[in-house]
This record gives sequence, structure tokens and C-alpha cells, in this order.
Amino acid sequence: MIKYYTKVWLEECVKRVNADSVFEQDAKKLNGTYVFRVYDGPDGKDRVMTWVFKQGKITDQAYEAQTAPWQELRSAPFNPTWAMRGSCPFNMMAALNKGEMTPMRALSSPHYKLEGNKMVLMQLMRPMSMWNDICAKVEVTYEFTSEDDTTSETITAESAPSESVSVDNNTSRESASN
Amino acid sequence: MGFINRNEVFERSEFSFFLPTQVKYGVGKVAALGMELQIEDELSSCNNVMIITDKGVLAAGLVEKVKVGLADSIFEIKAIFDEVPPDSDLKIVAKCAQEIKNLEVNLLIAIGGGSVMDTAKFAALIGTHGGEVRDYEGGFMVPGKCIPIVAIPTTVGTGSEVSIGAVVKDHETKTKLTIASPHLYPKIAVLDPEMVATLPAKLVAYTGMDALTHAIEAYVSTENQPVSEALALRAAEMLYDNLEIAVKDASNLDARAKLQIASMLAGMAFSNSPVGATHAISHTVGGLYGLHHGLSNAIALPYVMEFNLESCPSRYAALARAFNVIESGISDIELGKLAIERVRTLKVALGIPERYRDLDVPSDPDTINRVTEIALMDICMAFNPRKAEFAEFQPLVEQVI
Repeated sequence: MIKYYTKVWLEECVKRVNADSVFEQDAKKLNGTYVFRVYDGPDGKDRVMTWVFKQGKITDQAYEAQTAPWQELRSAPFNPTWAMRGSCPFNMMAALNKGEMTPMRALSSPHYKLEGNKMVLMQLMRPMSMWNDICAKVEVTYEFTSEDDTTSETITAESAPSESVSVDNNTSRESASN
Repeated sequence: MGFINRNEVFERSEFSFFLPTQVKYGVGKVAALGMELQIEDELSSCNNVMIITDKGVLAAGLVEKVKVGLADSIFEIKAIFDEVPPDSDLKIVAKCAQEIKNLEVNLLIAIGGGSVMDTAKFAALIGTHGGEVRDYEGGFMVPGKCIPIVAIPTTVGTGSEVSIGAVVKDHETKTKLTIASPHLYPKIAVLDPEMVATLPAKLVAYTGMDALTHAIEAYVSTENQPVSEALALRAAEMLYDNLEIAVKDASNLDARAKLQIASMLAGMAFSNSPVGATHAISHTVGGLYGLHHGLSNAIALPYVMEFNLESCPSRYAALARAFNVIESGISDIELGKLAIERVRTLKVALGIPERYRDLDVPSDPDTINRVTEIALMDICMAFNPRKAEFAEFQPLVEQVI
């Protein structure tokens, strides 16, 4: 079974999102880069996923994981060209994905940090919610060890090798979350 | 350096501000309503009018003023829907929307407070797009334009006449549903001080404190920005200066007019810099125990200010200066405490109870825990300057209850 918040999971999500005709129709407002930092995975790693949307299609994505605490990632400033960046512990992200926690509950928590213009994000609530629903339908396991996900590679929509996602504020690579 | 804001470093990298509602203000403005509305090109084909109001407003003769104002105009009043209760609900919205469809109404005139104006927004939505309110719950889920609304506030608190959102109660689940959408902004807000001249003192107090809560929470919102900041701070100042006078002297039209304007300014502010934890608690307690929204906000406000103080002390210090605190040489935290003290003093002067238990809200641990859990899931918490987990938030709720 696919392990949650891994490269394989991201690839599966991208495949499903881009194949969903309803999403394509209703999510055209979804543009830009969405970054998610997820800390302290069960394998002892911090992760970052970046999803780039253009007119509701994922045109690029990136994934990287390194041993926690990955200080460079944790201290990287928000890039104002990104649409948003969400940051939280793995357990919280998993609870959101399982439906054990509502997004509203996460947003009231000091452990979930949301950066970006929230008023703009509110306008994107519907397509973001659809995106989240598609990803949440991927069957996953949340139990894995440090041996399960050893990558720090970056992937792209075409599965072609690409540069590693930068945590530098000046990078223009983007991604989304979930 | 400015006296109030102290020329602080500007931290926002970007912001946006949106306000599509046209405001028409003036004593006697309603008497010339037909002429005022006919000027508007967008309303030229909207001549099938439904007035939405409540029985109190009707009995006060305020609907009659509007009817007189519309006489000899192109606007024909097809129906007066006067069934909106103080805490409107989904059934009323559905009934109103059905009448809108049956009568092919294409312009709504909402005359009343928040419950009336929000009912008009929901009825316009369902009357235009069909379905149920729950289908559109949340932010920006309304698919397109709705039947236009002309909002004429008769209270001094809601700001709904210029706001992006609307709240309605589901009496079956005892919860409140919130919708925010740019399509819910009224087309025109008509502010006529004569429409609030006869508002009972108690409602001036409750709704005025509601406006003060909007102003303060917008000012400290995580989404605060220069435009809403200016609106919120001016609103807070006007409310602080005039609320007690307006409550104690019903003949002071100047004070009531200022409250009406301040309420609108605060509404503009919180539509762009949303409110926080006071509203999260207030929505919850109001939904469960049927308290007036303004009263419910007024009770929670100073407690939440205390809770938030350390997250943004300079903001509360600026509010203190807007409340005429002229102490110098003391820290922002100390100034913030003085702002909170002023709000508490105002509450007492207006006869607002100290805590919810004074209004027979249960104060047992189960109630406290339940209110805490529901409030933490309220969308407003996303905009509160201090985030919290259950263990931090529960003591605040316990204090307020």
C-alpha cells in the first residue's frame, strides 16, 4: 500500500488530480505554487512537497525528505511569490487526511502554520477542498520506518529528473500541499 | 511619530481590499429612497421589490418610511416579508426564498438589523441559485451574482449592510452557519440616522458592542492591513466616544448617527480583516443558548482581549490611545491592559452582564468543554492573533462562561 506523504503518494495524487475532469472544470482558478512542510514523520524525517498549478492542472511538483530536524527547511522564509505555505507535524497532516481533524480545527492550532494571503486562499476554498478530497481518497498506510522512504529526490509531473526543490526564499519552484 | 500608531514597521508583503457596496448616508435619506435608487443604472430593471424585515421594525413605523420613500418611483413593492425572528433560521430563509421565486422578485430591500439583512442575503442566494443554505456553507462557494439587495440598517452593530458574510442559525442542530462570498455584499447601503433614532437603549448597547467587537477584532486580525486598520481604528474611537451617550440619551441623534457610521466602518474592516476568537466563542454560545449576538460578543470581548494581548501588544496599545488613554512612558502591554479596562468599564456602564452564567448559561465542565471544542472549529479562529490548542483555550472559555 502507498505510504502517506511520500514520493509515491504525491505521484498518485498528481495522476488522480490531473485525470479528474470535474476538478479540471471547477478548479480553473487554482494557480500558483503551494508548499507544504511536514515535520517529524514516523520515519524520523521532515518533508516538503511543492505543487504547481496552472488553470487547475498540476504542471510541476517536488518532494524532498531529510532527517528531522531539517533546520534549513524549518527556518526557510516564506517566498511571497507562493500562493501559500502550510507547515505542521506529520501526525496533524495525517489526522487531516484521515478526516479525524477538520481544516478549521487545524487552523486554530498553534501547530499548523499557514502563510500566504488568507483572503485569497478563502476565495480558493472550493477548488482546494476538491483537491484535498481527491488526495484523501488515495488508500494509504501511515505506518512506515526510516527504511521505507529514503529519497531526497525531486520529481516532476513528467517523472523526469529535475533539480531538487530549494528551500531558499528566492526559488521560483512551487507546489501545493495536502 | 503618530500618536496612535507610532509609525511601526510595515510587515505585510501584500494585501487586497474589496468593497463593492455603495453607501448613501444622510438624515432623511430614506424619504428620498425612490429617487436615490432610480439613479442607479444597475437597478433600472429591478422593479419587483420585496421588503424583508421583522415585526418590531414594522411596528416602529420604519417600513412605512420606506414605502413613502418609494412612492411614485419605478419600484413596486410586491410583498413585505416580516417574519424574520431575532435569531433567523434556515426555515425562514427557505420560506422567504420561495416567496421570492413565486413573485419573481428582482430587488430586495432589507430593513432591520443583522438577522434581517443576513436573512435577505441567504434568501437572495437561494432565490437565485436554488438549493439549501448548507450547499454554500463556507467561503466563496456562491457560484455567481444574486438578486441585488438594498440594505437599510435599523441597528448600530451588525455591519451586514457592507459586509461579505451572513450568519444564520440551524435550530435543529443549534449551530450557526456562516457564508462569505463577494456575491453577498448588498448593492447599496442606505444609512439614515432617523432609522436608528427609536432603537431601544438595550439594543443600542448590544449592537454597539457588537460593532466595537468587529472593530477591535478586525484591528488585531491576522489579516490586518492598512485600509481595514484605518477603518477599524476610527470605528473603535467613534464607538468608544459615543456608545454610552447614545444608550443613556435617546434624543442624541448625533451620537446615534456616529454609531451607525462606526458600525458600517467596522463592517467594511472585518470583511477584509476577519474577526477572531470573540466571535468563535460568541457563535458557539449564541447557537447553543440563543443569546443575542451583540450581547454574546460583548460578554466575551474583554476576556479574549486579555487572552490575545501578548500576541500583539502594540495593537492593543494603539486601541488604548484610540480610547483616550494618554499615559506615556508605559509599555505596550500596560497600555493594552488599560484598553481592556476601558472596555470592561464600558460594559458595566451599558449594563452588560459580566459572564455568560449571569444569563443562565450552564457553567459545568461538560458545557465548558463542549463550547471549547466547537469554538476551536469556528472559521474565525483562523484569524485570531493567538492560536490555541484545547488546553490553552479551555481556561479562557471557563472564564467567559
